Amino acid sequence: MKSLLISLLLLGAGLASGCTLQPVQPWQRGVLAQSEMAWDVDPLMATQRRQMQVSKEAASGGPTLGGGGCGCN
Amino acid sequence: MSARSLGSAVLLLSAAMLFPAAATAVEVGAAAPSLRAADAAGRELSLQSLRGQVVYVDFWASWCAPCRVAMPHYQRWQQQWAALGFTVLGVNVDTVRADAERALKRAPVSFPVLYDPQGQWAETFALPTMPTAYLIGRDGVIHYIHAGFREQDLPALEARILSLLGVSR
Amino acid sequence: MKKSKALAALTQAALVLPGLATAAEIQTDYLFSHYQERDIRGSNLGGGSAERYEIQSHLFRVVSPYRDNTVGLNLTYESMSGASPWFIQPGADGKPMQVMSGASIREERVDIEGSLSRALLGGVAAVSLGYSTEDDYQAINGGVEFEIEQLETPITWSGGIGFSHDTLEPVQKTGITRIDEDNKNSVTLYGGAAIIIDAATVAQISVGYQHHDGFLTDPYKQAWFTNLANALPESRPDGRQAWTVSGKLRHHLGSPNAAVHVDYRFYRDDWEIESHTLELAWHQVLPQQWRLSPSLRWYSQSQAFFYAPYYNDFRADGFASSDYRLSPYGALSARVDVLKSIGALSLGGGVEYYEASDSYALKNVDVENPGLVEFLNFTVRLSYRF
Repeated sequence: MKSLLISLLLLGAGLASGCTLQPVQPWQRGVLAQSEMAWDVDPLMATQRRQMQVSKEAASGGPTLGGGGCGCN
Repeated sequence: MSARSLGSAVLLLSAAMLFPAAATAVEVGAAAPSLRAADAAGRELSLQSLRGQVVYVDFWASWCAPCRVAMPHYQRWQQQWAALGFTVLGVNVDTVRADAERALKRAPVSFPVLYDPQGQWAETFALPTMPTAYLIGRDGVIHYIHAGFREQDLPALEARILSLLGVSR
Repeated sequence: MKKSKALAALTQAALVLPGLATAAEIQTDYLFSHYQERDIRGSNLGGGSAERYEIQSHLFRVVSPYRDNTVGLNLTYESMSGASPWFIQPGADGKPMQVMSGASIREERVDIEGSLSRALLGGVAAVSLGYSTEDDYQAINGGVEFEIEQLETPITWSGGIGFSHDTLEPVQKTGITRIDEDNKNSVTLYGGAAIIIDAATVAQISVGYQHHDGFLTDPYKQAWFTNLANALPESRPDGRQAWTVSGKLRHHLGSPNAAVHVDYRFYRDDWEIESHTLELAWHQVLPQQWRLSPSLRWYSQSQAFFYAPYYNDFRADGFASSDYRLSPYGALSARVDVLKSIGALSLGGGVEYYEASDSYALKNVDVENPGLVEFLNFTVRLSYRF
């Protein structure tokens, strides 16, 4: 159990420090700024889709406020 | 070594690597680093060769919206003040040249633009953000560092440049 | 320097949420969609029209920079027609049969929303206000969102609070008991952290909370009681609280020049509905400014504690609803979108197929609701930046 904990910790720390979380400098964020990398690639389409889902499914929400209206049937 | 002390050592180590001490920043009052890079035509240009002029070094990228908002203002400065011994020096940090060229086609500029696709100069200047611009006096000393860009910053920025140019308004 | 650096966060090209991003130019967008539900299967139909809903939507959006602010205006016009599920009746062998509203309903909805975002206190803040109106439904909604990058770290914090005040005025029909007018209020909260993992990967973890109170019942739906051999208006609790935990991952692949999106959401509310949503999308950038985006979505929910396809007797708490939205089910959807840019103009379109079924649910479903939807949605996209 203890060794499992240690190896998990080492793995986590290794992941966090070694390869992955090297700071990405401000001028290195070109790829992250691409439209394909946005949370919503097409905000207008996302709006329409969310409206469709909200009116058909019980679950809703997430890191967005959502709009108003029902359009339910 | 106990699991706990090993754990905290690893945590410390990873924290140190996560948040490294900031590299020695290029500061106000210090001499500007000797920036040297090629422009679109392949000609090498350096800050050294612009010594004697007031230079506004602007680090920009096509993917940076505030950088693009700033561009037409810098072009206006260039047209108004070049005769007074002033120049903007654009340093583009796009990794794909075509992206930069497309942005320049949308907002053409007459000041020199150097290409730094490897981010070598961006690293030397240790840009705190995108965009960042450095106002360098005729003596090659950094007089002001402008991080970010908002149109409301323009009057104060223009006053700084004009006072360096020795123009009173 | 310290001060200007802190202030810088707001005007930089940082990792800003869509909608909060600084606009460098005026962008106009248009979307048309045609949503078509499949007719209800004859073996599930207990009466009324088999033909289900059809919606045509037109969405317009303008985003413009204005003195270091970004101003946005959204306008939606929708026209809806078709029959909708009314109540569920047991068939000969007890199999639930969907009774649909008879006549075809025709409705229109207009929605207008304005937003303003700007740099504030070292971050980016946005406010929005919207109004939506249809024949029998009005909603006013608004919200405030905030985003700030934690300097010297790869973390960007974001949060928001929103409200909605909705008024229902059901269309009256002789012989059917309906409320005259009622309303509901909703408050939504969320908070999250986005972490830049490397130059091509970013992840976001967020939590959300919703509180609804007021009239949460569907005034057009009924529930069947076998003890009465009759249907009565449905009735739901007048309060509902929900919690969500969401994770998003965006990773860019250099050699095929594509972005991979993975989105997951866990949802739970005090009507005892639990839900999982998993979405995978691939955005492939192609030569000549083309983009092809296939995506898959899986959704699953458990039932509300008071839901039943039909009731043999009254519940002690008096609640009853046979709405498929509160039933246990799962849904799979697949879609493909394509976009082509020609200079400042972008043209695109897409198609989505969605099917809800008990067999896609995470847990075993005893009785499938006969009113589950299956639909096709076609979209056309047009945008132009000045």
